[in-house]
Amino acid sequence: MKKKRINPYQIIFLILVMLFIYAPIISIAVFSFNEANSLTVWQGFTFDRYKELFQDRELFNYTNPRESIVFMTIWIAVVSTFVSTILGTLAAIALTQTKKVVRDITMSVNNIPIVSPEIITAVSLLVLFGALQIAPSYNTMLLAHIAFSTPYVLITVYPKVKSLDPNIADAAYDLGASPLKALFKVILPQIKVAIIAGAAIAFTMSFDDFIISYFVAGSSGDKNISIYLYTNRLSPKPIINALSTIILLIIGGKITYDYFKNDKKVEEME
Amino acid sequence: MNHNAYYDDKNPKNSKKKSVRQIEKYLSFPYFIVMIVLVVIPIFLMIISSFQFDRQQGVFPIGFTLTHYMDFFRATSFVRAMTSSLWIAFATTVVTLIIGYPLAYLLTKLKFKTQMALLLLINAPMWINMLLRVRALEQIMRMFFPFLINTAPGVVIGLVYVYLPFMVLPIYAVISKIDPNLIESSADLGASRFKTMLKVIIPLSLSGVLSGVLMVFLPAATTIIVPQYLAPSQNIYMIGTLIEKSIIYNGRISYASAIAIVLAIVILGIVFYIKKLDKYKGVNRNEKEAY
Repeated sequence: MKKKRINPYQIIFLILVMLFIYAPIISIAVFSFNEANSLTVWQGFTFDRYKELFQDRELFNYTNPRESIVFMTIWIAVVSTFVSTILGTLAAIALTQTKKVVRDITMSVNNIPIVSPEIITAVSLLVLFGALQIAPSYNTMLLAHIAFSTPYVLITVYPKVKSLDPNIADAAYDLGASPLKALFKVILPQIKVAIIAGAAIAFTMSFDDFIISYFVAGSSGDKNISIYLYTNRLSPKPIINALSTIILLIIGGKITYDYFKNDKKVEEME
Repeated sequence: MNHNAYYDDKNPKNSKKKSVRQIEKYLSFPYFIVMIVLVVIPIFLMIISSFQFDRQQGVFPIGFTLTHYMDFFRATSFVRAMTSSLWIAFATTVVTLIIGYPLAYLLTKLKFKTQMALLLLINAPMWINMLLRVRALEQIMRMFFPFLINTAPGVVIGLVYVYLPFMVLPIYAVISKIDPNLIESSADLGASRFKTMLKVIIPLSLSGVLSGVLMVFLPAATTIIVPQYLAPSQNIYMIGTLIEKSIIYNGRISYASAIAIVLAIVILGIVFYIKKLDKYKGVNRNEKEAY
């Protein structure tokens, strides 16, 4: 590349965009330490919101996790990630062995939940559960999460499987490996990174989902964190700022960790 | 495996290998079951449901009515919601493009390490729950710009805030892959920087722009979160809100199905039209089929 020239206007533009992106997020974090119950008037520094947060019976019910919004959100994310990762990975491996027609049809159906607006997926799932007379609950939420996460796992893992050298698996069979052994000892280790990436996407999708969860389970009173935030939007509780800040910290920590890990890799390559 | 074809009929081991590889095909069975039951069948049921009378239990007995489809055009609420959704989504797309394109272009001019760091900062919010971000923005708006609450520009700003990374990312991906030789040769042939921008960089980045447009327009048109937070008095009425109302508050699932289907048809039309505009796809080196 040629010499990079950047003028002051461009720097101002960059700063303004960053301010636009981060000012709201920073304000959430700052107001989580506010002594006043208000979200707009600052009174003084305190950790009270965090204490209240962990004592909140709706969010953290330590004796009965089934009643706890935070625990159930994580539980559903874990189970749906586990199931969708297995389904998606196995399908990605199988698809490389099928006819092109099957592969093309599968890929187009797989794209439906990814491309179509969430609200359409939500309505269609609601109709399904209604038709089968399955009452809305955490169970319908879990099924819905599996339905929309699996396609993301497939499109993440499939390109990796496709790029594998088929001779390696063939060699394993020649050496007498059973299909199961070839799968676990030869194929899966080669695509491990893609599987982890797919699982990470599935987990985040499930953890953050609002629209689909709200439609398929919202009316039952079973809530995930997103539904909880939404139903409290008109009388925002100050503890929500504390909850938000904790979530921000976890995500921020993960992103920074990934960044420095990648940074090391780039340096090693150079 | 073509390169093995010669051996296949002679070596018994290879035919065994083939049958072993056949087994791999069956690994996709659970996936197919889940996708058919939870993706394909629901869509068909939604279509059937849109022709059903209200408040029926189960799929059977099957009735047939067009009232839900007729209701839209009679009810002003539908037409109003549809037009305001499309209009707001359009404005959002234009604004994200105006901010996102220069931003993406600027990024490609920076040192590689700075590029990566800034890109990360721009994309990081995508990992944060959307409701948290919109609520954060609402808080800021109420503090500093209260006149924007309950207005269409306020909703557009909210949507820009949420979907800006979706515009920057594909445009950046395409611009960073433009062969620098093309830009140099354009300069060698006597083009001014402005002309190079207009005739080389913008056309070559068009495919990124169009996928960005789709990734912003579609969710913006169907949002339910942003108007509920930033225009709580409901004078900005969008299609998502209409679906939410008919299902969550009124339990009119068939009516909501019909709205969802009309919405899907409108969206398919828009997607089809935008894809047709994409004549430069695959021009740049290493460009992968993304969307």
